[in-house]
Amino acid sequence: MRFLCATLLALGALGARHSRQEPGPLQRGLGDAEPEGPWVYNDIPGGFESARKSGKPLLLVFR
Amino acid sequence: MLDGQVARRDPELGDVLDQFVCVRVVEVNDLDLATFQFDTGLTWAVLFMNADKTVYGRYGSRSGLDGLADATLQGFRKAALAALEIHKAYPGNKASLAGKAGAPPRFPTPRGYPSLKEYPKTIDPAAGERGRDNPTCIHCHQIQAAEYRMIRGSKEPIPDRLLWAYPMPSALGLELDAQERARIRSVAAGSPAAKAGFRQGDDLLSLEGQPLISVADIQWILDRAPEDSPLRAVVRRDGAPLALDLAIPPGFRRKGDFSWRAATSDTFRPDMTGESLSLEEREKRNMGDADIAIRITYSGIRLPGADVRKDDILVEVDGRRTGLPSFSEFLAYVAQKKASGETLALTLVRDGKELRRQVTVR
Repeated sequence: MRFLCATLLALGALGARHSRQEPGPLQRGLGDAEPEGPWVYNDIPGGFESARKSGKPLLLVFR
Repeated sequence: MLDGQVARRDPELGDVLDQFVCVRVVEVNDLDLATFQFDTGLTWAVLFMNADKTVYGRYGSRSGLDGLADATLQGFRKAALAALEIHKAYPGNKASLAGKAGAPPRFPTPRGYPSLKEYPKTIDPAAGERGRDNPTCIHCHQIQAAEYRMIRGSKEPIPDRLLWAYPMPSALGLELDAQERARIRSVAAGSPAAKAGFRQGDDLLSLEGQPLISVADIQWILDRAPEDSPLRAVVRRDGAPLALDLAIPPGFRRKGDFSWRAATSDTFRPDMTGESLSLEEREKRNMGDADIAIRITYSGIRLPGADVRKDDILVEVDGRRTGLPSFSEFLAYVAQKKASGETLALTLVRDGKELRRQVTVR
């Protein structure tokens, strides 16, 4: 289930290039700035999976 | 602020960010501390990595109270471009990146620390008020505070390495240009950097064989550098590489400032902040540069008849009037010499008169 969610999030992120993503409960709850473009939001395994598939490096922001 | 510029993909960054898988991490309760090692005292830090978890580099620095002075959009862009260069050369350069991974941490995740064990594995978004004060959220600086608490709990002094963590290169006489990758803006006369032969305008390419993408990469190496053992540096000067040996004198860290770190106020710091008087101010007061002379810039110590006020000048600590040249040195004295519950005897100057205060150490 976790993998499925991560994959869906990563695919969703790739498909939502440069558009504002719908904030999830965590993002809303923390009042976090709304990232624009293909951010993988708070999903480290999903980010690594996406990097493995795409061959891209990762940029991880900790805030 | 840089965080917002990056999160909203500032036009100056968009083409660069497109070449990465960008991950925004806001929850560190169950973070893998072995894999993701960075200065947790920062409110904003970046790791550039390969999908196999090899670290390419770090971004995010802070030298003092101004939390924004050391991180810039231009510097961040150049660090990201440098990380892409490393990625293109990978895995042929893998051996040079080995030192960018750290030693195993004390605990695998923040929740391993006794003072953080009550936190849940994941944040409850509905807990508390909306915003960063969510009571189920471990903040990065709490990891550093938890380490301090463990050491204080065992009645041991907190070592210099953990107080003056991630020293800035200025501790060795190198000021770097925050708009660049790792370009030297100035070299302090007589400093270890000057003695090693560094010059203004040099681009630092590598240190101890590790390629550098930012000041944070230099801090990573300095944080682990054994004292009295020179570091191998390569700079680019006039278009050509040049090897230099940078000596690391004992106690070099103590030239830096750690008083901005929230972990200190969470643990041992009396409820006040301060800054050293300038040489000119000392001269006006007939004080030498070795004398304790710290202006209080904030105080929450409001005991009746025993308050400490903003603009008081701290001149004596436990009977000594010399040897604590900065507010950081004063904090280190508390962290290393005073146990929780002990009393600090302070002498302050206010309106030309000396006042004595007893402050209980947390």
